[in-house]
Amino acid sequence: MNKYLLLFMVLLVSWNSEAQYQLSGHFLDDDTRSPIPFAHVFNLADSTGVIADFEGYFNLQTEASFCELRISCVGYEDTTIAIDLTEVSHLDITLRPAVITLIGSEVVARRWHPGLKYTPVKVIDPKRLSSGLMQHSASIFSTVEGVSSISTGTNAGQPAIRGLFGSRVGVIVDGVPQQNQQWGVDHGLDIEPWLIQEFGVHKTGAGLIFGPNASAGAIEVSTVPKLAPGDLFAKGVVRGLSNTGLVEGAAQIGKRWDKLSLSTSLSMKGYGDFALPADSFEYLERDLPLKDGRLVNTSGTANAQSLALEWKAPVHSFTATFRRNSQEYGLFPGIFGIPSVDDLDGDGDRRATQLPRMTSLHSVASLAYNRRYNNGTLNVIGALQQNTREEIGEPHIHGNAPLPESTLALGLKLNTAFVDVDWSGSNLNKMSYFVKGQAEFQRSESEGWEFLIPDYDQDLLSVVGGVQYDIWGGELLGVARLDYQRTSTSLFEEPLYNGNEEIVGFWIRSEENEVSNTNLGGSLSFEKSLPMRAVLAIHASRVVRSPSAYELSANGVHHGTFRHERGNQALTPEKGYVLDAELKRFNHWGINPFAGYYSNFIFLAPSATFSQLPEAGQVYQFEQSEVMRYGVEAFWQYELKSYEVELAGQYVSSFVFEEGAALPWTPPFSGSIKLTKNWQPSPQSNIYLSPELQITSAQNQVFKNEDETPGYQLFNLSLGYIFEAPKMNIDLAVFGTNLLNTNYINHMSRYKILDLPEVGANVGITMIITFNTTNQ
Amino acid sequence: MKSNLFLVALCVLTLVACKDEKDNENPIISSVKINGEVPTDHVHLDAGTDMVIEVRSTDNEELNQLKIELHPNEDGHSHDEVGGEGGADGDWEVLDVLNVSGTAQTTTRTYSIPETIRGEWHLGISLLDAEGNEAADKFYELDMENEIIPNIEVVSINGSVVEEEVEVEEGMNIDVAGTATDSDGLDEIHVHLEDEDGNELWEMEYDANGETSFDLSAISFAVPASGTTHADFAIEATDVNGHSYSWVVEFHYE
Repeated sequence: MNKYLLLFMVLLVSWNSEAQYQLSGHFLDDDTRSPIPFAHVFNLADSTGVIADFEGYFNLQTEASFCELRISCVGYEDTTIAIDLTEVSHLDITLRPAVITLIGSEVVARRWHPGLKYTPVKVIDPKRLSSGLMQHSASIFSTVEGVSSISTGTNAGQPAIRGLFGSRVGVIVDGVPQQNQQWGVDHGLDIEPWLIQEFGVHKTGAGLIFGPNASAGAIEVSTVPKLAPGDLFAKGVVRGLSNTGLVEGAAQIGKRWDKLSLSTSLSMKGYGDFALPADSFEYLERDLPLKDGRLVNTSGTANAQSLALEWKAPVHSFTATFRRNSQEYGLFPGIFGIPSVDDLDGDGDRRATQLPRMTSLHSVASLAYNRRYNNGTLNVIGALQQNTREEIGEPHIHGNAPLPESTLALGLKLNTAFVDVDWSGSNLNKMSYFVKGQAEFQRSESEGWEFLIPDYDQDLLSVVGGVQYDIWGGELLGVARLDYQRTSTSLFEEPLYNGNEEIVGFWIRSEENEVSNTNLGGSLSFEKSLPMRAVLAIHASRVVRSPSAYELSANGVHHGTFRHERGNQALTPEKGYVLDAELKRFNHWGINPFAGYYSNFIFLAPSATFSQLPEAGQVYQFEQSEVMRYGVEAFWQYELKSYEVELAGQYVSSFVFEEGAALPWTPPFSGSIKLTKNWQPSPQSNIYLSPELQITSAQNQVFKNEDETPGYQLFNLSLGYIFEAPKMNIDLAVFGTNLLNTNYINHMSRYKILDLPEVGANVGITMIITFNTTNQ
Repeated sequence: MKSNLFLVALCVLTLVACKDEKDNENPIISSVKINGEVPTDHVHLDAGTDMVIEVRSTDNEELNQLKIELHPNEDGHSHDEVGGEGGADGDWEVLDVLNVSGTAQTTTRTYSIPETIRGEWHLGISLLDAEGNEAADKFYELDMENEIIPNIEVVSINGSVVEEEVEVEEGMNIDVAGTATDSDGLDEIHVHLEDEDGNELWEMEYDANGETSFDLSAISFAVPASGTTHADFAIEATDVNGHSYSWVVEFHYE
């Protein structure tokens, strides 16, 4: 009996051992080929799972011969693979961070924060922008539906997401929110476009991750090249534009040894006066001539430098970055008052910059630490920033005041310290989560004989948490954010003089004030895959934003907007409820409607009073009102053999209930049709020709005292050559914008106030050469 | 799903849009009178006299502020309906912001035109209602005539029309062409050159003997040395009543 029992047990054990299949695997980063530790493998066949070790290896045992493995790892895109274990016993698996593939382009990757996973995101390969249909860095983002650029100067601009901009749109560079909107909404971006490795646009929900200054959306930019061990990377860019005679060059080089990589970049550009198809303009009801169709004294220079040092091990990584961006450009005559006809004659030198002019310097140093654990990832970022801006002009007198001795009209200096600690975790099965703490401290000082905004301190402390759960065949994500913001503004008194230059009193331009608010925001998102690779994502959020120091206490003529802007210390935190739905099929087509209701939207409205400042016109004051905003973006792309067709359109509508009018600066409907014909003379090269028609409708949705603008059509054309070899890429494009020299007013340009049209026919050339050698 | 969401949004919009809306109608500057007369494009006024401006403002609900602005047209700019050759002596400017109320109001202001100005001035009138709606501005060109102070017209220096500055060098001879005039009679002409630090480099006085005109070709001198690169060359005419007028140009030492 014992003999038979023993035989039975031996057979049973041997049968069991034959039924066990084994799979070993190794996870690697698709960008860098570095091992990925602690990735999760979940076997859908038997609902068991394992976690990869420190070096990215794992072993899985199962009784099923054919299984589907769902692989997840914080910071990387989830993926599911089907595998026949009777044929395969080992796999090298590469994971890519949140991958979106573009038609006719290469796959680009970006590690989005898990809290933004289900928000509408679009990633554009900056290489496609070599066709360079842009005048300033902000316009590169307007290639994304729903994003436009606001021209805030001749060579400066800032992005607008669905018509909102300034302190509502965050620009996040290498994980650090950029500061440059604190002194009014007209200040352009301090980003060198050619250093951008990749960027993404979060049209909604970004404020919950990046803070109140991204309440309407955020643009995330990374500037550090991704390098694999042994890589040597170099990029050179040259570019020219006919309208301003712009010439610019940029160079970037990076090298990665085993765990250490170093990259650095340098860029410079110079440009002459802006040319417009007009011979006069209007300033505070004065008709003034434009000599030779040029905006005199709008020439300038800009340069940028960056340095990045990375140390990457399987579990730890450190990244230290330093960026510096400086600009100097002339301010259109009359920026400190009404220009005289003589001022508009200029000095005859198109590239020389005279008074008045502006200089700015933006420096950012950051240190990031990343630590991967078997159940999550810790990310810590600390950054110091300094923004300085000086507006320099010939001194002039206010009233009976003595003539200032300095040429410094306005000097602004902002120091910002930022810390972000983020823990993103997951378990093997259906749930992942994150918690985040943020702190931001700002100190701003101003000087000069003009006044715009008082000295102020602002502190922001935040905690954020989010949970994602697999349910109803999709993924549900809930996020909550709690902000505490304190803003303290200083008293500013301007002396008043009698005819003997004796002080006889003071005009209080800004009261001393301290405001603190605690705000709670949150969102709920659901994303579900549909048949035919379509995806539906719905996002509902409550966004809360405390008023900025500028909105609370500004009181002076803003030289970028040509008017007297005044803060309002009675403002309360702005609360909005936004619903966003996106339905798209891969990158073939998509539609993205949204609607938002704000109980007390903050905006700059014309007041019922005139400025007491000379040559300043009507005072514009920050007010609050119930506002409804809604709109839609849509795109469609189609490839047929060597042809590509791209259609895109965007529409925003807004309504200020108490006024019965639209919000000021509501963008008009716009759409584009682009046709591309490709030729491939060799497997490594491509020649393309892309005519494009941009259509913008008339904008009749305006606020009181805001001018309506007529519609227009622009014709653009690009001709390019792309050569892609394993170690070298060449991207050469010759392009023309507004080739029919259409005279049009951009509704979103500050120069609309001066009744100035936009640039006429403009021809440019861009060449980008990239080398990348690797020993792998 | 999507369409349902937008239906809800549309309903909310429609419901709340039924609330009372603010006034979006612009106020109107119905009429302007200068010294009791409706002004034409060009209004002739005399320095040293009073100018009475009468503005009639109207609004459908409530007026708020009226702005009267006077500025010299030194450079020849224009305002839509106002033309103008430019040229103004004196720096008289007025920025008068007045509160107005009701749906219609007539505002009358009197301004004393200084005795020291001459040339082309612009009068601008702006109006806001209580909701910040802005009226279409009104602009008028004022020709300020002056019989009180002397007048100086310099035709040329060393044969060249004078612009912003005159290029000179030490020892160079300066010859002025032009006239100084005054209907009451000129007393004296004082000519002097002063460097940027305020040091007098050269000066000369000419007796005009009460004549109504003085020929400036009498002014001739050699440019003296200067410690600075720029110097102000001034011709000051004084009439028999003690009223004076100065004409100044900058000398740039090469």
